[in-house]
Amino acid sequence: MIKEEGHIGLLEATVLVYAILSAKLFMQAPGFLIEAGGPAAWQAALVMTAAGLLLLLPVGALARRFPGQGLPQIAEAVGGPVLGSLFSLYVLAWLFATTANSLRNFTEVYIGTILPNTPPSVLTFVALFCMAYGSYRGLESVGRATQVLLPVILAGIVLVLVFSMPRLQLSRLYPFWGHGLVYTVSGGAYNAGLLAEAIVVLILAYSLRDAKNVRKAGMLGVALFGLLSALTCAVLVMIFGAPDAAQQPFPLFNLSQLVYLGRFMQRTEALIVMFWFFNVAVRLIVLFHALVVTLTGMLRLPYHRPVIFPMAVLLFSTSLLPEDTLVVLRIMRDWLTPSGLGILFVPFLLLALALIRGKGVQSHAA
Amino acid sequence: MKRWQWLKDLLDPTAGSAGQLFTLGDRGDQPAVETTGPVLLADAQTRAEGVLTHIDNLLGAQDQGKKAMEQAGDLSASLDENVERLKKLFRMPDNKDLIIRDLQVATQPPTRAVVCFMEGLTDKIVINEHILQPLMLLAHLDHHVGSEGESGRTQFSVETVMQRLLPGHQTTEKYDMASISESLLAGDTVLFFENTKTALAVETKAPPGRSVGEPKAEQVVQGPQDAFVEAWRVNVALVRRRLKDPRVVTDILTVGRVSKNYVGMMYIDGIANPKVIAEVRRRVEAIDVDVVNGSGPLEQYIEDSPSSMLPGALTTERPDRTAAYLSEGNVALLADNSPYALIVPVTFWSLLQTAEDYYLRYPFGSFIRYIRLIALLITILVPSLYIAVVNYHHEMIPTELMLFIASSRENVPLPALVELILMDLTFELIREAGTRIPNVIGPTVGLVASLVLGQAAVEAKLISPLMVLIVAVTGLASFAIPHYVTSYGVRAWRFFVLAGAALLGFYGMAAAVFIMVLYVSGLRSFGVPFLTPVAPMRAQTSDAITRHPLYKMEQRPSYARPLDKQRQEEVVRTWDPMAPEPEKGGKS
Repeated sequence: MIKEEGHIGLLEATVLVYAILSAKLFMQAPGFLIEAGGPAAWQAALVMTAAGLLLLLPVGALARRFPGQGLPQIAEAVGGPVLGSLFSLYVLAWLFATTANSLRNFTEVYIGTILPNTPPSVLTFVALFCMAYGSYRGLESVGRATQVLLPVILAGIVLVLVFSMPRLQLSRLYPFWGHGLVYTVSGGAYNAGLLAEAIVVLILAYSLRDAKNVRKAGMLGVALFGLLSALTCAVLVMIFGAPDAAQQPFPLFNLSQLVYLGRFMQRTEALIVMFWFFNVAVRLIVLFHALVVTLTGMLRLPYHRPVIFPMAVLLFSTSLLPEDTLVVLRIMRDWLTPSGLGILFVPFLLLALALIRGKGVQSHAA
Repeated sequence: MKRWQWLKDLLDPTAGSAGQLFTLGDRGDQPAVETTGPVLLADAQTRAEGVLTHIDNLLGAQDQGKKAMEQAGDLSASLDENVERLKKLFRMPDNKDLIIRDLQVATQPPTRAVVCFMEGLTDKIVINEHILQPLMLLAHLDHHVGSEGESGRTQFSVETVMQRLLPGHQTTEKYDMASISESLLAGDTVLFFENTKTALAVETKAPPGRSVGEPKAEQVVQGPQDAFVEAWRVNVALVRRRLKDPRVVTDILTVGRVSKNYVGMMYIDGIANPKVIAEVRRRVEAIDVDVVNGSGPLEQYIEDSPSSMLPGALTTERPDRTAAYLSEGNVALLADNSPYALIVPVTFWSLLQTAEDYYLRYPFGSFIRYIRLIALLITILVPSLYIAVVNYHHEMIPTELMLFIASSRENVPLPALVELILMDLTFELIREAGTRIPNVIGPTVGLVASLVLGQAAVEAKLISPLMVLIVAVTGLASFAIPHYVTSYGVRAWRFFVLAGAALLGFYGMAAAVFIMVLYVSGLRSFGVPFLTPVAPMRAQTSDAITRHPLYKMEQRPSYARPLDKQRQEEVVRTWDPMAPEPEKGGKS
């Protein structure tokens, strides 16, 4: 496998999965869920979580059948050089598009909130430097850094939600079933594509000491994100109302602007956005690392470091292609989220193929 | 005539320069063969003589058994030859430090001998009373030796001299010139005898050194007031005084081809992990350089990341702290000529701890640790926060405060960043000057620098009063970081984060902090992740940040993987009616 990587434990893997997903809360994920579920957006978030957990179940079985291996190796072992490479290529392409889109989206968040006069390329370059450096240091360092920064990452969301409590209006959660249970369930299930990044737990499965922890980490990370996104959606709906909340490009930032803790603490959004940086940086680093590792695995290279710089240049160029924020959002909503559903089916298909073809360690198979 | 020559030299710029000025030659010139040749030749000759004598001795001993073969060194049976080689080895007569004294041992018949020792490193009284006096005056009084001569007086043999004539507490036989020179340089006295291929080294070490004093950088209010000194043996004794356990091991390693500095490696057998001990030994033994001058350079040769901003080993001048770490399974290195011990492995959190934490009651111990943690954050973040807020995020500042800042900066012509960098550099200048200048005028300079300079800069409207406050608070906070080298690293990071804040406000600041955390997360000290037990999280984290009650710290810290994890029984306050009943069967 990849050399110079080190190992991560269950807690680090869980925190990483949570961090790559929770960064979406600062962007448009709550808006998508509120659009789908209306006043019942929190229910849509729970449905999304349940669907994601269901689709991620095969991840654990795959990791146990192919201990110490990542997605590209598993795909090749299961599907052979052609079909396996197609699987990996699909994941690679999706990861590349998602990372580039996230990078640009992240840049736009900062330009739209606290640094309006800064050129996007400068912010992108700084974020990209963090990504490249994180990938260079390896997953072990990233996992530990995330663990150290977890209180700050959590504070970035929880504090905003807690400090918004004086403005909550419970009546805005009604009608309780939103647009109707069918819409809520279908909208929630459709938005399970928002959880597709959890696939990185399979890509990076080789770095976990115990294969059993792959499933646990994926499940715990997704569940934690699901709970927090349900809470966020509920708070946003209770404060802005469903129609308004669904229209906002950065609803959580707007919420942070409303925080008022007396005369001395009234404009803390810049500070909160700084906390968010840590979360978004972890997301970008892990996505970037997964991308680099997938390519390294497909090319059967022993080291991932030579791939970092070319990949960073490609991402930099690609992320600056969209004309404006609207194009970035449209790509995410219309292309990446639906295709993310496909990504969640990859472990399922790989496991089915492995069972049919009898590949992997039989005795440990689920 | 002389005046005429002087005038000529003065007027003619070329006169006298070529022939009279001392020069080592142009850059890149190698020393001339005429200069190096004789030196190299003399060295080679001395070595060749030794090798030839060694071969002779081996050939002579091959029929006399294994022990004789082992004892066959490069010493000759001729006393004069041995002394001559020693003189060449020590560059005599240019070198005046080696003292060579001829004498006759008062045996029957009298035997010629030579006593050698290094001036300044030895105890003259021991040499006079325990070596020269017995050999020269008292040997003839000994009538009870089995191998007696006709007159009833002792016949000469090395064993007899060693066992009956030299009352020194440590006497060892030497068979080769290398170990003899090593003993001499360590402060031993060496005896050569006529017609004997064995020399005797008698322990007479008395190197100059100061007595045990108070700690300079790690003072405590409650707790012992002794500190390490430059003599490593004294330091070992200071630690042993606190750990009266036969399992405490002191292994002696030597580093430096020229310095041949002793390094005492201390650990507790049965607690310290053998893998850690082996790794420490491996790294120290791998050092192949001329000089290793104490614990500072030693640390740089053995730490995992020598270019890191944070140290890979904990330096402490406190024997109590060293003993505490040894009892937790760490390894201590006590280098000669250094009043500091190196403790390995080390974690980031131990760099923020002091001995005082444990001497105080636990709530106060925890409290001062939190204060230090806050001090760390203030040192790194406060200047950057100020710059980011003033330059990029004005909206964060309440209106009254913003008006105050604006009014205080109104007359200052410099941008806030330049103002801060100037003040920070001045502060570093004062700190460095305060460290280097003599103690007598040190406080005066500190006072002048801090009060007069600050006041003058504000009055001259070069610096705003708020900036003085920020730099002062930051500087004060940096002093609260107890470990000297860590404090350096943190101060350097402050500038890195400041650069991020100056370029991109909170965004750049967050990026710099993130890179910093990422970097530290990847560091290791002798295989131990630097941020453990916080990341990776270990179940036993009670002594990293919060200082829990001593009676509840049953386990040793797990990061060094001690062989014996249990520090104490689960219930140690057995007399306490509130304490839980101890479990039957002992350890949990």
